[in-house]
Order: sequence, then C-alpha cells, then structure tokens
Amino acid sequence: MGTGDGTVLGTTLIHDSGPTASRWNLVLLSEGYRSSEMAQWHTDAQFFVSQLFSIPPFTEAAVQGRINIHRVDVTSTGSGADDPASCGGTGATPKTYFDATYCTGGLARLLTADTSIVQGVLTAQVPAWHQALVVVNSAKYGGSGGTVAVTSTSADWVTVAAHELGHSAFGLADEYESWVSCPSETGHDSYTGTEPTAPNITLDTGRTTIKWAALVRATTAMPTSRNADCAVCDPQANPVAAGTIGAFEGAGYYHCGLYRPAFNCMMRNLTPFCAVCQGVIRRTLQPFERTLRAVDVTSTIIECVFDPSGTAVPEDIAPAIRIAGATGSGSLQSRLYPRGIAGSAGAGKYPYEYRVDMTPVSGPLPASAVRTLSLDFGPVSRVDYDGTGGADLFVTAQGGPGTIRPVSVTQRGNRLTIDFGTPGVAAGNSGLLLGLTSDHPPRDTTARITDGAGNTHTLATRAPAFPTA
Amino acid sequence: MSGAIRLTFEYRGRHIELVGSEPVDLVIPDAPAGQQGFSVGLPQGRADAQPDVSVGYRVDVLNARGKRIHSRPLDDPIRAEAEVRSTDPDRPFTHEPINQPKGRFFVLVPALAEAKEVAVLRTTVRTQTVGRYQLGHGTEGGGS
Repeated sequence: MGTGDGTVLGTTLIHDSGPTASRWNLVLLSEGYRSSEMAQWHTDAQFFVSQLFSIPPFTEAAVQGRINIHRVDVTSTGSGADDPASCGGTGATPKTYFDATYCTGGLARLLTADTSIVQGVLTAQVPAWHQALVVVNSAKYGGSGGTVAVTSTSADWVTVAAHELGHSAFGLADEYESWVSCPSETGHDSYTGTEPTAPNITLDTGRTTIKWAALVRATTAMPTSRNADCAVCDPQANPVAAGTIGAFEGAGYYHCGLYRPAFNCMMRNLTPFCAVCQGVIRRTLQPFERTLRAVDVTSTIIECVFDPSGTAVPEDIAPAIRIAGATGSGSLQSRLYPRGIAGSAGAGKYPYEYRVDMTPVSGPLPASAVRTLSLDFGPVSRVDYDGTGGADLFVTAQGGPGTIRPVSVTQRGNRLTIDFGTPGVAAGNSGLLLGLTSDHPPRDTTARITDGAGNTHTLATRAPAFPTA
Repeated sequence: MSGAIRLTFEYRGRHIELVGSEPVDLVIPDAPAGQQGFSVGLPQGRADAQPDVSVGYRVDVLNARGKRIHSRPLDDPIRAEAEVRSTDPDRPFTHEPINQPKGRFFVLVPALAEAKEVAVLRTTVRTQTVGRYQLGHGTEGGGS
C-alpha cells in the first residue's frame, strides 16, 4: 500500500496569481481517485476553488491576488479510502497512493493520510507549499487538520476545509464553547488560564484593550453577552445585530471566562468568517505579493469617476530627480484631487496620481532612466474605472502626458512597486499618469525610485494616511 | 538564497522530535495582530524581549548562545484529540480523544545565519521547553 499503488501525474496551477516564490501556496492533492476518475478530481478541485473564493475575505481581489492554488494529480489503483469495520465502516481497503484511512486512533470520522508520503510529493511538486489539502474521493464524512490537512468530499466539505484553514493557516481558535457537547459537560465551565495565543479569543473585555478593539463600536456593550449559568452553554439568542463585533462570552471550549468577537463565525458554527477573523486572514497574507489589475482610461477619468461637475482642482508636488552623469533633472509628480463627491462612482474615496517625468533629462542609458518607483500606499480601493468590473490602477493612456507604461505594478504588504522594466522611463521620456484610489486622506511621505544604474533616490510624495495597526 | 527553513517534527504521544530542516524559497506568512509571542519582522531591539505569556505552543529559534532570535506560535501541533463533526447544526463540532496520538507537523521559520538550535515550548500556566534540537542540514537528530 502506498506509492506503489498509484502515480503522480503532475501539477497544474489552477489559480495563478503570479510567481510561486512570492505567493501563498495552497496545494490540493488527489487521493483515492483512479485514472478513470481524474476528470471528477479536476471538477472537485475547481469546485473547491470556486467555493473558497465565495467566502469572505477570500472573495477579495487583494486576497485572491496573493494566493496560488496548485492541483497535484495523483492516481490510485483503488477508489476512496480504507474504511475499517472496527469503526462501523464497510471494511474496504482500496489500494491508494497516500494510504488514506478512516478510523484513525479509533475515531470513525478521523480521516488521515500518510503525511511522509504527502510531504515527499509536495517537496517534488510544489516545494514552496504553505498549506496542503489531501482530497479523498469519498462521500463519507471525514477529515483531519494541520498544515497537511485531509478531507473527504462529503457534503459541505469546502466549508469544513475553510474552518480547518482558519486553524492551520491563520492561527484562529475555535470560537465555540463546548468540548464534547452542549448544553452541559464537566470540566469546561469557566476558563482560568492565561491569555490565549490565538487572535480571535480572549480573556479581555476592555473596550480599548481587547485584541480587536479597532472593530468595536462605541455603542456596543462590553462585554456584549454574558453566560448567566457557567454550568451550561449560553442558551441566549444574539442580543445585538448580526455581524456586531464585541465580546461574547463562551469560546475556546469554555462556557465562561473566554470571549469571542462575534456571535457567529466560521470558527464557531461554519457561518461566514466574522470581521475579526477576516482581518486576521488579510493580515496573515499581507507579506505576499499581488499584481494590481490596471485599466487604460482617458484624461477625463477624474470627472467620470470622482467629480462629474468637472470642477475638481488638482494639487501637485514634483520634486526633482537628479541622476549622476545625466544633464537636467526629471521629476516625480504626485497629484491629489479632492475626495470623490456624493453620488459619484468614487464617492468618499481619494484619488492619487503619479508620474515619472524624465523629459528634460539627457544622458546615457542605462543610468539615465528610472526603472522602479515604490511607496507605502496601503490598501488600494478597487474601483470600476472603465465599466469592466473594477481595477486597482488606472493608466491615463489617452489625453494625458507621457508615453511609457509600467510593465508591472505589485504590492507586498503596504508597499506598492511600479516597475517600468528596461530601459524604464529613459531620459527624454515621460511615464504615463498612473492613478490609484484609497479610502484614506493624503499624508506627506517619501517614495523611492531606482535608476538604471541601480542607485536609489528618495523623493517627497503624497500617499494615503492608512492605519498601520 | 532561501528565505526560509521548513522544520519537520514528528510526535508520538507528547514526545516531539525534529526529523528534518530544509531550506525553501518562499515568503513566510505574517503574524495576525494580537497573536502574542509572534516575532516575524520583530525589530532587532525586541528580538530578545520576553515573549508574552500566552497559552499554547511555540517554536523558538536560538543562536549559539542559546538566545532567542525568532519565535513563532503554533496551532496546537499535537493532535491528542480530534475535532470531528457533530450532528448539531448550531454546534457542528465536538472532540474525541485519539488512541496513541502520533503524527508530523511543519513549521516555517526565517533562514537566519546565526540560527543554531530550535526549541519547542509549551505554555499552560508556566512555560516548559518540550524539546531543544540542533539545526543542521537535512535530517536531524532527536530532541533533548
């Protein structure tokens, strides 16, 4: 049983957001699918992607853009998984590549695979993996957790897998208050330990000190709910509006003494992730790079999106770019417009535009060109600039100055990097005006450019004053 | 140059061994805000600060003098109990003990030139070192 019972066919990137070395890599591996069932495996893997990406925050472009999902096709001689009769199973023992079996440790629903075999396949196929999910071709409920998780394809398997990802990939704790079952059980009345490590359960009910204080409204009572009888699970209904973030007693397998941020959450009862858990997922993925989606627009974009009256007045700064060995100086133009007016597509949002202008410069290449521009922009608001469904970046390709467009615009953490490629914005040329939108008002800060000789220049610019906590 | 090391641990009961450490070229996920004891991106000045006392497991990376240079909390790595589906839709999970728990878990830590050892620690009321392991190349020896 094991690797002699099947074949690793290869790997396909079924959600490709960019280079694997800079993305969070989720790997799906097939188990208990015969060669004749590979089409079903491909359907199941695609189903997983579509379902996961329907669960916030995985619905967001900024989250999806940081994730690659790899599908590793592994055939098995047999179909399904071992199902020992000692746990009430069928007694089936199909020959499968990863030796998946129910009844691990005597538990009927604990479905595991040989992790060392999985690791070997991962190392060979996707060495930069962060999270693996072995998908077992069986409709019987079962699964197990960890960075190498296992799931069958029983009803709501993707939702259960999302809960498991909450644990193993994002460090989220269970938000339910029972260990075995409610309403009563012994040993789980009141928590008496120290503060839990996990970001979504806490001892602290302080409005300003709780881990998720930034999401608690001034009008929300703290704690938001208390359990009147710690001998049992709290039977009360949600006392506040759905989605309210506060401190609800009953979490981390204890009826009292530990608090969760929302009444319902994926980590409690398989409902959508609460706002706190969504934030944790976003922050965990922040270090990974994403490529921004750009669209071409005309110079009337501000009127079209932010101020239909056409009276918005821009405010520019343009510090000089001086490159050793070149004659004349270029500039980094940073342009601000007022906040989008009510009723416009960009209502309440702030547009920012940037342009590297090397028109007045002359000098030899490669030194006298600007290759990259980077700055801390923070969260980019996606706006439907051109009626095609939303983009992160607009490029004023018509009616504005400049001719040079970037070859890529990426973001890692809060850092935005605009890459003009080679030679870049060369002496005598200008980049096109590049625009982004933020929910946050401007602040004075600095940007960095690199020239063709690899030198770095720091220049004044304007960027959103996004919160850093 | 690789940006990270993937540590592979095996456990049987509460005994943990480091069985492998492999360089890998990837980005390490960030720490969720509020996840105490996490030190990815920890400023140099705080690298040897005492981590917050938080319930759970963590892995520390140590230099030649035994000083912690990185710390990373772990989702409970030892599966002595299993979270399994219940039949109650309002409380869809329950727990059952696993007979003779054993398994393997993986931890990503940054590839730091001065790293010599890793330690697995567990905090309940107080912090205990579960094991301390020499770092090398490839397959490792057991813990102390």
